[in-house]
Amino acid sequence: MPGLTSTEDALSSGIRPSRRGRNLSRRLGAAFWFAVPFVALAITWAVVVEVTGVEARTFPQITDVVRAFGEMWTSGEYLRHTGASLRRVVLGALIGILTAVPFGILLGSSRWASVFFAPLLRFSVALAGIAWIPLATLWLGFGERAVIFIVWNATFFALTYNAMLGVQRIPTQLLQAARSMGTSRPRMFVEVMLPGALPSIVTGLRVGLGYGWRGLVAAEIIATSAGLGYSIFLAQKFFRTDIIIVGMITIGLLWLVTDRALLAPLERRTVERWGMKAVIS
Amino acid sequence: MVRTFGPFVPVVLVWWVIAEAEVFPPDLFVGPGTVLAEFRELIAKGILPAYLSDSFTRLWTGVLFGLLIGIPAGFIVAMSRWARRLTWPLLLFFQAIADIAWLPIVIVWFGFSLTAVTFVIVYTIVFPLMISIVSGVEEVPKDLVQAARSLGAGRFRVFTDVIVPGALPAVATGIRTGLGYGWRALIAAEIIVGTSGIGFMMFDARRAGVVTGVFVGMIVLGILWYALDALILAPFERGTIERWGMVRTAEVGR
Amino acid sequence: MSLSSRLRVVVACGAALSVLVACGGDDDDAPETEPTQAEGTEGEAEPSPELPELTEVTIGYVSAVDQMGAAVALDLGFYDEANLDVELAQPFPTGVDALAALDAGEVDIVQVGTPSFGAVLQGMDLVYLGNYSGSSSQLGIDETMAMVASQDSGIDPDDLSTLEGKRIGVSIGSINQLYLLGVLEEAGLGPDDVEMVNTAPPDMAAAVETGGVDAAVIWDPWPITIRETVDGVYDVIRGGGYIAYIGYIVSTREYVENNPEAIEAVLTARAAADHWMRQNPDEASDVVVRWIPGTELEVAQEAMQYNIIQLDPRFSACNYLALDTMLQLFADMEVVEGTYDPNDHFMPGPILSVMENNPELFEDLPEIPEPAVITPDYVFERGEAQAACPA
Repeated sequence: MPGLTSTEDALSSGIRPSRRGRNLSRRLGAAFWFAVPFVALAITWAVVVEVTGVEARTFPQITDVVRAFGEMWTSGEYLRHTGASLRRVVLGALIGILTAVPFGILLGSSRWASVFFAPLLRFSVALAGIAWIPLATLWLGFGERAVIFIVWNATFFALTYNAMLGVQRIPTQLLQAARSMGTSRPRMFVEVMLPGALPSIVTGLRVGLGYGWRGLVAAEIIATSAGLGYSIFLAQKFFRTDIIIVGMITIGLLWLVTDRALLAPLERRTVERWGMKAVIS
Repeated sequence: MVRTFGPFVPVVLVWWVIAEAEVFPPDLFVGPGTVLAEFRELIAKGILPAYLSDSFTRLWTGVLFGLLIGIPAGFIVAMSRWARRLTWPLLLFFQAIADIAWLPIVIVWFGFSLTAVTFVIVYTIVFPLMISIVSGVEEVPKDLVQAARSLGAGRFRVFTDVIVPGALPAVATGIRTGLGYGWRALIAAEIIVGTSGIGFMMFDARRAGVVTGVFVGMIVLGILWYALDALILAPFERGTIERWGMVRTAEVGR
Repeated sequence: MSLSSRLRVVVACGAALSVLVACGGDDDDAPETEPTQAEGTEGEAEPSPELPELTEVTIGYVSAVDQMGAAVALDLGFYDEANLDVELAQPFPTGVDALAALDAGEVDIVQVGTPSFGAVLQGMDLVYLGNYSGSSSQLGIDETMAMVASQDSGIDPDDLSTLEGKRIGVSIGSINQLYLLGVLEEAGLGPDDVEMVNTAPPDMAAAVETGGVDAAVIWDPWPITIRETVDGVYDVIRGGGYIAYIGYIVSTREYVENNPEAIEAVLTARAAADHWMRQNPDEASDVVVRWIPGTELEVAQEAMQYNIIQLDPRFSACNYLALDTMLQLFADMEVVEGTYDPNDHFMPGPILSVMENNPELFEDLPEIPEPAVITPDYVFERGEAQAACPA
């Protein structure tokens, strides 16, 4: 990682920057290096479009995209669509977590139930998300409910399966010790199994949300009148490649932030805290 | 095999009971018998094999190109520190753009064609694969590389004999993740572009209000992916780990 | 199982699947385009020594009843008569895709309506050469648009104010949305008085059936199909002249400038096909059934009835006005950004020439009002045209 060697040098030469200062410069350094490739990409983009003279309807110039974003922002459209997509993801994921985690832990706590349900769950994870779109729109019609269902579906199965596996992986001595201390069942669930399965649960959330986010975009293209997926598909009808790119970048940023700034650190922390590594479904 | 598929028997029984009891309205929920009958009919009419092969061809083309591009690219980026620094953020970002989101612009470029669908699938596979390879190579223990060097191995031999085998589990994981996204992208593309394939078949059945076709499609898909993953991909991943003896901190599910 | 025997299983499965692929599939994802039994030649006639060589042209169309003229001309040999070797590209799912193909040079001529707005505004240099659907004798023409409602919708065809608060399936950004707005305006309602649900045409039937929408506003043959397949669905309104339904035969300026004779030949063939369709609607329905797989004959026949009312290939001031009006409506709705001058993209020369040389093909059509008749150097001016064309 860049930046470390310089602080080592700084330390050895007798200068002692404060801890906060060191962290800050390290973070800034990392942020800088993270941004450089994107700047390079933007420059390349602008140059290539100019040089090849490609038509706006095939590939927009970076200024077109910026302008389109500006227009969408001022008209409120940008927030409307982004908000709709986010709302659906958050709702679907929340309901997913609330339903899947207890269910998964319950399954995991029973040897018999785990063995019985594991293949079915695995099968369901295999199918989770997009493949349910035809069925979901048949049962729930087009609109919000179907889209939220898809997000819920994707997160539910991945979470349940991983929660179950997570509980299974808790060392039996731990469970026996807790039981021998006379821990009641509810307390077992909340204070022993839940923390123990947490790393797996977080991985399950990451995988499930990954599928759920993709399912969301697909479902929005097919079944709604608002949302990021919908807006890029509508833009395609009018050759508005600039709007399409605004949408794509938004989708990318949203997931990047969610995954890297939220989920990955969460995964790392739960692993460090409870000392067990996670399972990939 | 029995262990893998056996537990489904009680599930099918429960399903049959629910359908017979008409817990849900029959035009929204059908039982295994109806699904099986429809399945047989679709095969007899040649519709299912035709759609399956359409879907499969698209997937296979995409996967092939995805691997051909992703694996070399992944290793090239992994081996050069500067390349890694320059491209890593880009890799992360592009992987974050849901593959489906590329459909509209790809349709503008290539129309509704095999090229468009292939592009989306290749895209879906290349990025997770590259990311996986880059992290895999990074995790090859440095002392192994140094040991090989001290034994007189040149750069190339270090690459082929230490790094590639060491990164193989990562390649396997990357392929598995990429494929998982890839076939989903295919189904979405088939629904949206809608000319043939399993995704199209399901959505077409839905349009006609016939839920049986949707069930058939979902079950076929589920079985295919489940079989592929459980019987081929996951064991392959485990096998590469066992074979080359690298201790991985991440366990693979069963 | 050891890794190597697993590998053997993989190879075996791969081989089995490859066999499946080889046996099962067609070539790529091509939908069925050829009719199940083709009448007439496919334009592969050998040129006889005295005739000039056949000009090759590729025409693109969308699978819709009102675009069938392109196929009829092929089936009945009208292209051959005009010394053309025409290849009909596989039907495109939407006009947008047809235009993308035109842009890429994969086809020479396409039939398209409102999707041309977005393309032109994004820089495509299109020229409008003739109509595949529309009218040159009046402005408002929309016989092929209709609204159907479900049994429990509570919509009264005689009192359109009952539309208020209803969920209406429509394709956002397309011409049926404009039709709906026109109907609403007549009923004294605004766009916010109903809930518009974006629905793709093939999904409309399911939406009506499951109660996802109370009514559907869509072009033929969908309203008819929905009525036939879903119990209790009834017609609310059809046509009425709320909008000018437009559908043009377009090409790129470059192609037209390089191939003027081909253009005129194609337009002649199409006019002949249209004339035949107007005179023989039942046989025309048979053509539709062959070229659009899955169409029921009764549906095709009913749709054809309305289609031939709009089958007017000619250009007059009214067509310019129609384009200008619809473009303005789209711009007002902010569906497209800005407008353009119809004069920049209409090229009436070729069709006017065809009209002059083949008057018999147009005899059965309503007369174009005298003030709306144009010459090749016509310059459109909105006020004038409005005065000249009946609504």
